[in-house]
Amino acid sequence: MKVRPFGLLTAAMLLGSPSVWASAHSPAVSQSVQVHKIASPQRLSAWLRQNPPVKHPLSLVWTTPEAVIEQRNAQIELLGTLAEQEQQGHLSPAAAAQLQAWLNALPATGRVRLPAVDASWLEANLPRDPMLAAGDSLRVHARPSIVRVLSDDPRSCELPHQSGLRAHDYVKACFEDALAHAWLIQPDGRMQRVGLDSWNQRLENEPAPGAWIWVPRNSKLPEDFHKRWAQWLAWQGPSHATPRDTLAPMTLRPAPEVIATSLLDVSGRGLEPEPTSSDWGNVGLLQTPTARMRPAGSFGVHMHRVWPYRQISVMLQPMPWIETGFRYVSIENRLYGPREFSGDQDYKDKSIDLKLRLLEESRHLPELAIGWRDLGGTGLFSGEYLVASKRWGRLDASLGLGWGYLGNRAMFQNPLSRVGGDTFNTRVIDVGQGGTFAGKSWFHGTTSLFGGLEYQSPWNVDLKIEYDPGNYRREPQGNAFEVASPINWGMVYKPSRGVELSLGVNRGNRLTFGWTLHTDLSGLNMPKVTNPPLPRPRADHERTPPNWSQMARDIERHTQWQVEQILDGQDRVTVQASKSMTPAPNDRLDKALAVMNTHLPQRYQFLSVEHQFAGETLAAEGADRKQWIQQKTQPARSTSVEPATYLIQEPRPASGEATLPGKGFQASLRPGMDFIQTIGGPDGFVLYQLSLALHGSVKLSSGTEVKGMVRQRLLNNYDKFKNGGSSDLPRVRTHLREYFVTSETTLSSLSVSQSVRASDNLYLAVYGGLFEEMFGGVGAEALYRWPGSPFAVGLDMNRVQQRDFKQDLRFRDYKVNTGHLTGYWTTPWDGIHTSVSIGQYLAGDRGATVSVAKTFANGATMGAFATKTNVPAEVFGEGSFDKGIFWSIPFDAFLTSSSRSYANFGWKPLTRDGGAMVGRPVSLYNDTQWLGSNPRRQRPATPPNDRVAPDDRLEEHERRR
Amino acid sequence: MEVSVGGHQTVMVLGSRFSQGGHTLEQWFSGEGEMLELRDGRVHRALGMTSEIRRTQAAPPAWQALSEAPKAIAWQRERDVMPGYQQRQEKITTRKARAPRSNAFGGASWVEEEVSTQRLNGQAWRYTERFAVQGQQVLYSEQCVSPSLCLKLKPLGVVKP
Repeated sequence: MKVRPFGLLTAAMLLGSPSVWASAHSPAVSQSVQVHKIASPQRLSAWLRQNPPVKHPLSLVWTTPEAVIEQRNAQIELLGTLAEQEQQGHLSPAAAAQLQAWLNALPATGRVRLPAVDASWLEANLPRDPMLAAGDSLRVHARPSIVRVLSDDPRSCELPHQSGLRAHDYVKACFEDALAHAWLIQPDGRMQRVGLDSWNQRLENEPAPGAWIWVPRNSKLPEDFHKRWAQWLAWQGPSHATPRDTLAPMTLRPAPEVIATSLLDVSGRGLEPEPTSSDWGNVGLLQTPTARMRPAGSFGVHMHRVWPYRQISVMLQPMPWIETGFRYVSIENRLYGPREFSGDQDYKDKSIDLKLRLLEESRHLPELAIGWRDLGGTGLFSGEYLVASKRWGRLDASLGLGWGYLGNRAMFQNPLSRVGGDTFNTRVIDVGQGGTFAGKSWFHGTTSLFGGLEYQSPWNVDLKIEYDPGNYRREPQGNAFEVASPINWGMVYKPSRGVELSLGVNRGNRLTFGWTLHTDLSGLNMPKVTNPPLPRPRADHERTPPNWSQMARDIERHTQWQVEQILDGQDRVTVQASKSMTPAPNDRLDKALAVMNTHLPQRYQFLSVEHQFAGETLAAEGADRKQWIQQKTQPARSTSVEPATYLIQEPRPASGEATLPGKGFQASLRPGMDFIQTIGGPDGFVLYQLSLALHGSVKLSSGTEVKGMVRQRLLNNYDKFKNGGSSDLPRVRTHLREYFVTSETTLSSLSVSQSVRASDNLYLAVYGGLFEEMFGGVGAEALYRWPGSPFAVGLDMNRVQQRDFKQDLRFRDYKVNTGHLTGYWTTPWDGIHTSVSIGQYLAGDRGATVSVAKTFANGATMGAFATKTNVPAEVFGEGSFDKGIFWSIPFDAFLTSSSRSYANFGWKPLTRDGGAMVGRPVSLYNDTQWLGSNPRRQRPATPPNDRVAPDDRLEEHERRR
Repeated sequence: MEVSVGGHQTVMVLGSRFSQGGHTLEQWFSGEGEMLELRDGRVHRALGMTSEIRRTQAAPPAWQALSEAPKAIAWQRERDVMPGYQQRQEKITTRKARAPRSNAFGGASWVEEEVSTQRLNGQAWRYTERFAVQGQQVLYSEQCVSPSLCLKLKPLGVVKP
């Protein structure tokens, strides 16, 4: 459809409102603004009721004096950056002068973003209804009909708005050369970074009438500079409100033609890129990987079958540039071992994968990744690869170079041999005990090319075709298969979010089938619909004296804390709580404050909470009550508002009169379910035990705590576990079968402990009893932890004895001293934390354990550990040394009620006796989390954009993971 | 009003009803603060939901006119929809329809509106809206805010304009 330029839009003609459109696009556009000064405090909804209807709600601009100050500072900073960029030679003097002129001409308006502008809706959503104050203003604009495009070279351009056009279309009409990205700024102030080229174009918002588009053309300028420019334009209001001569010289262009999206949409205008799993579980085509990754936080379970292989994989994406996971491959035409040893079970091969992104895709360069398949397994399927992927709309092409299993076709000599010598031409496969990182064989041996194409259709179906680098003549376990074609093809159907069903043909003669279930652990969030209703923050306070006991019970009910005492100060109330490190601590504090606000008369102006451990306060949180209520009942009046609540580590002791009677002891009894599993053994792929668990604890006034757990077995197949495996070490962990089948009712743990704060930063604990299923004894721990520091050091020493298989009060003969010196470090990078423990393990072996984990903002964690001790690989047995992957998810993230518990999962290739740590009843590091460097970091994940109202959507640059 | 979305039922309460330009506007609210504004029984605005209609500009045929029209009536409407800041142009054909077999609204006449428009991704989107109308009152309707949000609306009381 051809569109005539300037004000004669088809839509306006159809709907009979040409006057609005025409006036909006007249040269004197700024005259179409009505400025309303606010004289007295009132809600926006009230103002809307009293004034004529707003013609274009997206263009209504609310300004506040607070935001003006903030924006003036931003303007000064941006001018400073401009000067810096000029000094560094990134900007020509002429360009810098022009940009400076624009910055000076565009005022600090004091604009604050508004939600949907509708009186009735705002009245029903009071916390979103802005409280207008004297000095504020509301600017009402006529409905705009233009879009303006600015660039950093600097140039400006104006076009008529046309429904159906994207930012890419407007930019192309203004600047004809190809550009990579732009910032789209809607008239309501929302900013979105959008792709302009075939490799990064995707489904994006349409520019609304009155939108700005900021186009970075100078690649030397940092992205933050462009983001701040976009923010500056967002504060200006709709683009037509700025007179043309302010941005002179401005080019006027006609609106480009609207290109109808074709059925196949090959250009990808409606694309939402979603990488899919390969046959091996990691992101890829069929048999081969691509350089693509899932978003950070992704967790997936995958199954695939192509005779004679059946694969089950678990893949994790801890960082945007790391994909890792583990896999079991069943070889259906080979037995695990002799029938008397493992029955009819198929041969199983375990493997760990790793893929690292080396380069992000850009206009001229592909996305590049390096990867290892079967990194630490037996080497049966091990292979390495370097792969590049490049997208053109909905088509994603990949080309890679494979070694090992991925280079079996032996297309050519290893190119690395030209650099590294002939040794690179030989690949030594030494299965040995498995589990070692066979670095000497990486990228060795013959090499093959692989690659293919994926088309992501608009109908939830992806089509894939690839060139397979495997020749299948020298397969593991002596297998050889006929290959009818080196071309594999298939399709992936995605019936709903997180589900992939794949069907294909491999080797030209084998039908394949697979499925993948994946989710974003970092985005898990469940509305708490079964929580007790929380009192709404309100300013009309109780006048009767508070019922302190009831308040304590209400706080415990809403927060899962233990309230130890409530102190009544003059104008301050302090709640002293223990066991108060929970998921989403900010939410818990808000809940406590809401309860306190409901119970307390007006004279209490300050509400605070002390988080305690071992009778000592680790940290204090609180709020100015009036400020907190204001923040909970009306939108912020500027962009960067200080939170009403505070956190103080090492607080001064709170004063006030104790209001609760002293507690002699506190007891709790909590039933639950308990699940233990062992995966991948020779006796059964999954061995499990499901039990009813009863957790009990008694805490005495002295701080001494007795706790324990009793299990009643419900389901168990550990009786299949015939092979405990031989071990040259004391059998400290390989008596699994005996521990899980001897008795149906077991006393899993029963311990007594006492923790104290010995000095400012030193914490001590002593404990004794039945630590865990297999060991009991006595021990002590010391932790040195500086408040607010990312570092801590701990030492634990234990004298333990192996428990009887019945898990009652009796012991076996084996005794050992075990303990570790542990250093903890919470790194400044993206929630990554690490620890190193050095000491003696349960089998008497000595060595070190390194653990690295990433904790996402919602509390979900992914990590890995490895332990190397003085036990040689041949003594350790299969696996060579202890290692594994773990992940945990707060129940809070997926239950409809708040919870303080976590679901913990771990995977080790094999349970062996070397490098085994004892489970201890006390962890001072966990108990003192309030002293950490950022104890309030965890917060519920923001729900996915398609599950929230449009105003609550987050752009990728706003989302915290 | 009983509202059914994807097989799940919920209830919205009437917040206000008023006349404007010869039309009856009703504003219905859910417990979550979502708002549905109906103009003569047709969805006029929807706010606070996962998809929103911020504005509708249209001159649909009156229900009365339909009973007198011998043929289908073609008309157009423009909607500002979110997310996506889409200014959606919709072509609509309204015609009388047969009552469904399990008709709980005896005496009501049925109207179908075939809507032809575009999704945000540029693909064509065609759907049918249905109304059970008695006089000027819509007793039941099936209408869509977006491809992912189609509603079945059944006022539980008698609406008296």
